[in-house]
Amino acid sequence: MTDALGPRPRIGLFATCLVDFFRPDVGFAAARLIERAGGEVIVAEPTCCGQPAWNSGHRREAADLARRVVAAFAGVDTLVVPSGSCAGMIARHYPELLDDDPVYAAPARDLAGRTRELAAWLSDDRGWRPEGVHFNGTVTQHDACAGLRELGVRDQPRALLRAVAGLTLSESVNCAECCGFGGTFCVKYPEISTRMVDDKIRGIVESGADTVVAGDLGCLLNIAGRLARAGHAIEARHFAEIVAGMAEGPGIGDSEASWR
Amino acid sequence: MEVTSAQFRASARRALGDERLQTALASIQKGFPGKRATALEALPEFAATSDHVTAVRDHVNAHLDVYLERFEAQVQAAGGQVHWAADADAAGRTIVDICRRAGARSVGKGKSMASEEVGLNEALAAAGLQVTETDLGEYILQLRGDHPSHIIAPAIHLRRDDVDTAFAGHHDAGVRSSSSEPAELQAEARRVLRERFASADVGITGANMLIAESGSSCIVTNEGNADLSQHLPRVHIVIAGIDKVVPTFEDASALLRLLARSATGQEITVYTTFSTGPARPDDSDGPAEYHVVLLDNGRSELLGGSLEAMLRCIRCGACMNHCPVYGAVGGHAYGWVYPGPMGAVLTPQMVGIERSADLPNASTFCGRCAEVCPVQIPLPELMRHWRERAAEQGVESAMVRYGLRTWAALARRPRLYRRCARLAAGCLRLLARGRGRLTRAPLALGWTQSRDLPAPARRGFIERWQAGER
Amino acid sequence: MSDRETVLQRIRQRLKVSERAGAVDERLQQRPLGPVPARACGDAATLRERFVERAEAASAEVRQPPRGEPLPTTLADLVAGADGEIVTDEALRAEWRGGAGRAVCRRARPEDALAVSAALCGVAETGTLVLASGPGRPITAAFLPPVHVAAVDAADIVGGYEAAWERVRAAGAWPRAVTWITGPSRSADIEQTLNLGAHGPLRLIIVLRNGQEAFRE
Repeated sequence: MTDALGPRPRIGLFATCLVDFFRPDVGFAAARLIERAGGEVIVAEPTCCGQPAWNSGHRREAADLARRVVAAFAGVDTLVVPSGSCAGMIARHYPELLDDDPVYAAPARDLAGRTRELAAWLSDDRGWRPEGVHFNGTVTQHDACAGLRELGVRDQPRALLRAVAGLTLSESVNCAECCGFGGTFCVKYPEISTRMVDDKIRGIVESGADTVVAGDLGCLLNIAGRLARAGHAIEARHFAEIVAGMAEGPGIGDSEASWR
Repeated sequence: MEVTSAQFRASARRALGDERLQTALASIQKGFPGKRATALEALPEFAATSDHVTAVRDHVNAHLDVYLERFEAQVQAAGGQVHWAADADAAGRTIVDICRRAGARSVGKGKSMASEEVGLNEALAAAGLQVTETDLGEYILQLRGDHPSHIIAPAIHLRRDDVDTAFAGHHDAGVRSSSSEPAELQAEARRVLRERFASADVGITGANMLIAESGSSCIVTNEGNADLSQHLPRVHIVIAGIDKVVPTFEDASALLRLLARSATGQEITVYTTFSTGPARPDDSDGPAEYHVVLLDNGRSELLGGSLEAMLRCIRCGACMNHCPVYGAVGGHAYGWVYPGPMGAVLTPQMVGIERSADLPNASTFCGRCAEVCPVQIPLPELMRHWRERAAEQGVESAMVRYGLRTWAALARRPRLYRRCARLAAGCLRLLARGRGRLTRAPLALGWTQSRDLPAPARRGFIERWQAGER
Repeated sequence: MSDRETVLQRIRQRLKVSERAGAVDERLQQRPLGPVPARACGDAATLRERFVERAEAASAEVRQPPRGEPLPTTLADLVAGADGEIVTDEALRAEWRGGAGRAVCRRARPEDALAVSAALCGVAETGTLVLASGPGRPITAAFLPPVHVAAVDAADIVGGYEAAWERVRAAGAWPRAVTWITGPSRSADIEQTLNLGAHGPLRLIIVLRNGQEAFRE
């Protein structure tokens, strides 16, 4: 199939474990956004990039999982990931992780070069902006660490959000500070993690926003879970839900209409 | 110094509950990062200088043996002596010997992390020498029997009344200040320490750099205490890691443009002194003996491996000033001399990973440390190295080990994984009872102590996508 | 095996290489420069202005007396307030003859109230003074007395640190101590509250003069 831009690129959608398990809507939102930006969506089975093992020092287990991802997405033009952290894992760490693998070293480097975080792909690679999308509310963005510092994702999601009608963007002073999730960190060092997410929430509340968005579900589960426990009525959402016009449902951790 | 890094979790919990400490820590994160950012903005060439110095540091590390030999030869040519110390004990013995040969009784000491690392004060005290720390922060700590909690702001964990109490317990009423205002307390320490400077037989300082071309040591301070410790006594002893060498004064100049800006946000410290050998025959002042003790203590083992970049470190403290974990628990929780991200890399090297496995693990890998490091040390990567060693040696907790193995085994078998995930999701959803989140959950570990757990979806994304849903 | 051999052997084993002395000696001889900041460049007037501005930003006091004014005149207020001897460099002592006869060249003592040194040069980029120890140049004068004065001639204001090292190299025998001084001593060790006058001087007064290159005499 072709359009004015030439053949539609084949875009792998790496759904991530957390999206698959906790928030499938983010996967559907990402798929809709990829199509609207002119891509053909290819979904493949593996959802774990291996980062939990890699960051815990279990290189062998991480490499096993990485090989599966490299093999599954070998045929796509670009691999798009609705998570800066998983995108960073593939783009920045796979080459080192599989460096001494006789079969997978070269394909891993190749896939790393073709891997993009969702907002960066939409905004930088496709120059795409949402049209006719509405969201009524004041939104503050949390810059998830890996996206921000490994991939330079900061302005792209903001640009997409600013193009949404009815949406006001309000910055938090500590938007670029870690929320304390850190993968296994939050269960290994819960008190330190709690202190960090409390600092984060203070900034979110001060921003006056009614919705906090981020590009990483790990941070969002952490922030949403602490917001709820602390009794704040601020919603947490992945930015893709809003930009794709799929934010009608409850926010992360909020009550569902039908739960069985 | 006793290594308590193995009690990191308990120490961290205590620190989080210590209101006085929390007030002190808040001031670090309010103060240093903003000042650093302003200083960097005022020097457009900072990034280029960082690239240059990083390359110089790597060049020196790749030729370290030769640079050390050149440095040694130049010290000797200037009339000084070089002593090599393979480990902490050797450093202590060497310095005690120099003091004994000089017939010394009292020692004035400038702030030196290398001396903390080798437990020098304990070694000197055991040899009957009277040691006075002269850096204001270190002096306060010495009176309290305390240790630094930050590499450039050693007493950052204390408040003015702590200092007042320490002085009250050790100073004569005649020199006491009339209030606990920091300026008054500082003036009191000045009154007390002037006599100590003048009467010290030996001055011991660290070094921020060693200059190979001339055999000079370079030390920076804002107080001037290191200068009084090296220009007044009969004997000046420098203790410095073998990683402190730079080739030339031009290289030192470039490094100095990074150091204070990264540390305190100053353009340069008040005093930057380059000492080369003992006093010349006609000099108006200066020590009669000049010694440099070159300390290895595990540093050479960092060469040629994945941790080599750590040897670039210029000890500015920017990594800890910007670390959210350090900011939450402070330096003492790390349980040894070097705290924060740089400590999480160095401590396992120097005391063993089996005694310090929590340090490289207690990081979210948020990456701020690497972002602000003026010599571009990829600190999270180096911490990951230690996590791998900890995993190999089985010093991580069994919970983490088995949890991860189970996860990895499941993630490799998609159909089994989906069945298990669906089962887990079903159970958690039952517990959530339609509220969208859980306040307690089996196997949630620390999560639900302070957070609700958003409930999983009934069916996963992959399953629904494969079923044709869009 | 001595500690020296142990350490060097460890390094060589880790680096897995042997003869690299050539690269080291070449670098030591060539002394390549890093990036020299723009703020270290400019004509003499610009550098002089920047030196004053940066020194004052570091809490130094700068006095710019008319050409030919002797130090006792420029520093009359300080001399009046200081008891005892004034510690100074040999090169400056002649200026004190006559009116004030208390100027001496010797190592400083804890009870000294005032010292007046001649700086080798001033560095514009950060308002830094460069002092060197030597015969007739007590470096302790810069640290013990609560008030330290450093005289520097406008012709000796250089742009950056690299240019300062050229001056030191040109001055002949290498001094035991070369000290950069930027403002009076300070500490923020108590509650990060910055206070001047830690162990070194509480006041640093720079006398920026025209045509009186005392250091070079």
